[in-house]
Amino acid sequence: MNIPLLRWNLRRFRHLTWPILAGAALTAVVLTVALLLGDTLRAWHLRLESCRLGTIHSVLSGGDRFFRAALADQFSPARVAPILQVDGSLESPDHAAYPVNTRILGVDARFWKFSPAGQPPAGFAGQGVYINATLADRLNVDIGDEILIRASADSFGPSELQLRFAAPVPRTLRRKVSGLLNPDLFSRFNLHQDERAQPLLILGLGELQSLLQKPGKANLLISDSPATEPLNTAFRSAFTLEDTGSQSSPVLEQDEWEINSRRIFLDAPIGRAATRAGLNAEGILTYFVTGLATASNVTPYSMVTALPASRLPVDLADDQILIHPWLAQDLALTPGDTLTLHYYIPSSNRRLIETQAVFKVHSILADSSPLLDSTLVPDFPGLQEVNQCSDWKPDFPIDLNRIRPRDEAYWKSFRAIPKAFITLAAGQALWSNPYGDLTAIRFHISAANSSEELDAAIAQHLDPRDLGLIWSPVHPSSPETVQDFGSLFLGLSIFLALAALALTSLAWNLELSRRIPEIGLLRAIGFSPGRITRLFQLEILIGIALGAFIGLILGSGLVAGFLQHLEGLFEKIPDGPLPSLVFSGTLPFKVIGGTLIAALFCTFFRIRSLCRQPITHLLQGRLSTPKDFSRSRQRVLLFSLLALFVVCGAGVTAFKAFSASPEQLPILALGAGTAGLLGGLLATAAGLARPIDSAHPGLPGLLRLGLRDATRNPDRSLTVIGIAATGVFLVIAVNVFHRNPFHQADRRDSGTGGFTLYAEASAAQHRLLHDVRDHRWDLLGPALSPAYVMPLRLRPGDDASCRSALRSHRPPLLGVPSESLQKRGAFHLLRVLPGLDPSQGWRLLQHPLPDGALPVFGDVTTLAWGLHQSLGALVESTTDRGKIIHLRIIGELGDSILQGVLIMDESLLLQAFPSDPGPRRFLIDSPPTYAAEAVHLLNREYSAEGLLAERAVDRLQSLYAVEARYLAIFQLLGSVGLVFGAVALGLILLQQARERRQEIGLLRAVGWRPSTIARLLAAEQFWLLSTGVGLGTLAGCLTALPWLLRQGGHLPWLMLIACLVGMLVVGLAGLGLTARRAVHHSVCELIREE
Amino acid sequence: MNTNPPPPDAPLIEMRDVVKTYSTGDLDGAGGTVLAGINLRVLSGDSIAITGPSGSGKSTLLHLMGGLDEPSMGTITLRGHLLKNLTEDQRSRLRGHEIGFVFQSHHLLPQCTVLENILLPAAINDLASPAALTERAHHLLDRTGLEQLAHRFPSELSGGERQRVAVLRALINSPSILLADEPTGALDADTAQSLVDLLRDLQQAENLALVLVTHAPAIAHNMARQWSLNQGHLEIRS
Repeated sequence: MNIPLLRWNLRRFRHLTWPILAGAALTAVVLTVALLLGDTLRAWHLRLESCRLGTIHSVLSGGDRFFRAALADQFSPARVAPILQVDGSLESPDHAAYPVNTRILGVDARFWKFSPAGQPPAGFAGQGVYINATLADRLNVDIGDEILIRASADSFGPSELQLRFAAPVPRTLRRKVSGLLNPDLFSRFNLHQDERAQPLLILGLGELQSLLQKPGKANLLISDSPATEPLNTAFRSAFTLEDTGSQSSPVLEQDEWEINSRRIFLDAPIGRAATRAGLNAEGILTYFVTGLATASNVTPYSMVTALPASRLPVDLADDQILIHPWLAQDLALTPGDTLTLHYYIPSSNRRLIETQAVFKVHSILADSSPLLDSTLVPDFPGLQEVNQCSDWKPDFPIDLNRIRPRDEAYWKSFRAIPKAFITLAAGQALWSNPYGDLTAIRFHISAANSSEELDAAIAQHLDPRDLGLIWSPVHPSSPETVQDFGSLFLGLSIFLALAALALTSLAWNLELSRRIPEIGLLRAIGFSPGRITRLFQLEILIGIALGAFIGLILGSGLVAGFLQHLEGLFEKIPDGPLPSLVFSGTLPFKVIGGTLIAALFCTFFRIRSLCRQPITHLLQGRLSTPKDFSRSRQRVLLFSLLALFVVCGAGVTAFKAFSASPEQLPILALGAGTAGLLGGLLATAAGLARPIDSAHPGLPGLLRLGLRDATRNPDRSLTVIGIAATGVFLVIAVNVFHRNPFHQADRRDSGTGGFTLYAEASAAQHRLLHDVRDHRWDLLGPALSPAYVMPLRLRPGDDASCRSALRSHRPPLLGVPSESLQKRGAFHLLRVLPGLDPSQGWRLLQHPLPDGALPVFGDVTTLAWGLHQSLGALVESTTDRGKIIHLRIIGELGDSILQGVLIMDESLLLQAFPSDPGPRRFLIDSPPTYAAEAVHLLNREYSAEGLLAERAVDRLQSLYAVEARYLAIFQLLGSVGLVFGAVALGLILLQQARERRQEIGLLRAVGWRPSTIARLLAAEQFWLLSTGVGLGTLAGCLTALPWLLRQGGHLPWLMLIACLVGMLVVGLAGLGLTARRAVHHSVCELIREE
Repeated sequence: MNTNPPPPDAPLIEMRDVVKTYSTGDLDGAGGTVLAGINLRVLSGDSIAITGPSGSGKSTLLHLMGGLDEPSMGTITLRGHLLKNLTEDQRSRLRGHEIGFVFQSHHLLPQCTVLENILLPAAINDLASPAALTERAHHLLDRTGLEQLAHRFPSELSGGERQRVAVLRALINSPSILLADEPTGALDADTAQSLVDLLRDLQQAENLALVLVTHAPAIAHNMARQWSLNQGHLEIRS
């Protein structure tokens, strides 16, 4: 390396062309912003995750099954904390805001050790009420304000078969807010990935247990141990029957032990365990029937018990029935008569369907029969507490008018004693359901000495995993699961980076063109071409490194500025830690290294080609030789052919875009525009390479001269045109991609499915369904009348929508009525797995696949960004019973309001998750005119139950908003780039002015006036800028037209005009400076330089 | 490349049947012949003036002698090395060691001082012996009366001074041949004569061959031999 010469040349830094520094700095700014913002956002999302889960790695969730909190002590050495978690309703006493459905956690000091802070909030000593900012905002309360907490711990069991005879009464607590939770104190605590913080209230475990009347109970265990198997083993050895929600007690009248459940139906695994325990267990199934009827009479609302043969006094066939003597009298029945049982069975959406079964009366029981026993009837809520049947307040359809005085008399005498008995086999055939097929198990009193002994004997044969009591990992996010924002932003900024590199290259070419004789001299005195190339590359390397360093600092400053205004770019995230600049140690190397490599690559070829020029030409400072003429003809031909090819490709791509699928549309539209831009630049290159003499002889004088000047240095002109064109193209393309959710939103194949409203809730919405069923919405006015409600079930999981930056491994599952959706023609199924019939649409979800996997759909955004999966992929999920099931993605929906979930048929979802509490998502078709009012009404009516309704288009818009945010960042980068580009363009013009001083001097010497010279220069810049702007506009339109015609919207005229004005200002500034130089230097001085 | 010195009586430059043609850029591809069958020899210690009208090929001939350009036909031997057999790098190295160039334009690097411009050819080897080279540069500057300008930049010099510095730059590597292409073209008569005196003085002092292209007969008469080029043909007058 020629160190001395390099050292001498470094003095040139004083004269180093600013465009080189500006180009390198711009490239570095783009890289810095993309990478630094990417790193920062990535770290921020990981921090959000840390605030959500702290050091929790495993959880055991009992749901509505409450177990002993003391179990948490049984996992040593692993650290485990018990939590009592319920949904409740919170209100401020002055009712200033709607009630807010909130997760309420009862915790003790152990819980806080898992938080990022590692300690409880100040003043927490097992009591106190702490809320997060989200809840405080919603309730409009602060520390010291009173709030009303309403909650109930309903462990009644299957939501579909809730034979309640009295509505649950929530318990109320009035407390002052002790403190606000911050991110380090679990303000974002959530077992499922969700970037949106949910309302949260935390209070002492004992206090919540007391409120819910669940002393010593919990329903959630958390641990920092990632190894779940030891935890499961420890749980199995520590748990008892009580922890399953069942209980054993002596039935003194019968000399028996009985195991029953607070959930009415005993879980099937418990029955199997009792059988395996070898204690001669006998199952009992008692069911509520709506009527016992003969051909002419009906006895309404009764209990019927199914018993094993060993407990029946007679040998009863499965189609025979034993009846209470009262019933025989009431219906005038005799043995051999036919008796029809009317009863409810659960259907979807908590609808009970009444059906019937016919039996033949075997015999009539004696008044003293031991079967006439009220203990056979489980404890249906509200059933036994009333003095008369008409006092029932049932939560399911009962016509209390059907209850006769005779029935009330029976109630007074016999209470709920069953009126008929059938075989257990017959009963289970009628009333078995996913929640169980027994209501009690009886053992002889000799089977155990105490209930504890009985519990232990059964628990020994029971695997808690079969009841869904299983420790599971909660997938703490690793850096790999977070969206790679850096690559994303780099991808978005590629045009800008290329423009910056082109600028650097142009500036270097300008610099080299001044130093051609120097290269010639070095060649003449013995420097080899390779040596000169290395020398100049090293020289520019230092310049570029300096520019890159400046760009690194500027870019870092810009990102810091972005972060200050993050709320403008991102949704406000209360309870979220503020993002802070994450300056990776490798960033300077990546930015400066990347800029150097890219810039050196761009500049290498020019210096190499110069060194290969004849030395004699170099010494004379000229490069054009007669030989170049034929080469320029080849260039014209080559560029013209390439341009024709690329422009044809652009046209074909644009044409295809008109008929492309929605997910291909943006790709094809952008591809068409990019190809159009490239083709245009190639055509321009061909035009510039044409011999000067033939350049548009018909043009007016100054314009023709301007064009000739523009063609004099084709590379420089092409770069200026390219920068202007790229800027305009970016402005149009970025703006046009802002999607319009309102476009054709009323169509059923649109993203709204043609639904007007979308509502979601954290808890099942049974009251809403009852109101719809009972036509109570008709009373609310025209906004919700008529209204069609499509309830959907949700199996919670890690949010897979584009609102989450984390890859979802266990996405939420949405159970939909596939038949209804198919009939409605809702949403747009883009494609299905090869081999499946696309015309079947939603019906493809109705049956398991031949390999046993359950079929699911997902929308394009969910699959691409949330799951990083494609059609045919398998996703695992865990059932209520702790079994792994496989879901295969067989269909891809267009962007829709069903984003963030995998969609499966409701019936298949219920088979896998029988404990699903009921619908938590709703698609509502109501009069569009009153959509806003309907939203208001729904939120007013159901907010206490956690329902949040919005217009379907608003949801779609909020989902598009994420994309809009990224586009906004890109726009921000683009704007920064355009500012830098404009400045650099100005510097080039300034440079050009300096270069042409002698020429200007000559023109003045021969009599040209400064104003004429200025017009000549303006003509050249007019050609360059107008060609660039025109090309960019055409390419932008090529992108915009297919999109606008398919998706609606309009061209961003304002931005375009602003861009043109910006270019004009830059052009005029450059022109002004050039003209100023032309006027302010004396002609003699300029001529002397020449 | 064989770097052994040639025999003392061997010509430094020898051209045999050298032809140089240029394409004129016409669409029919026709070209013009600048040099037609040139045969010449330059010996050690020669001082030669090449004269001829504008466009006669004087500069082209000089460039061919120095290996800056390649003949269309014929062979050129420089210090015993057949130029066409050398790679570009080998030709560059040979030029750096054996030839000093002075052009009509001084081609001084504006970013370098006078001393640095003089040392420029030595920078090929990273100023392998910096002290010795600097001493030689100062010696040359002293000899030509430019010592006080050593640390000035070219922009601070007059035209004559710049051209003198260009001459010293050509000599720094102690070449065996000095090729000067109309070095006085842009100078007034007195300054031109002064520069020629300097060239002759240095040529004799350094015992090198000097080939000077000029269209001024007065300058040519300062050289021991005069060659004339006319329509591509070389006429050796003395």
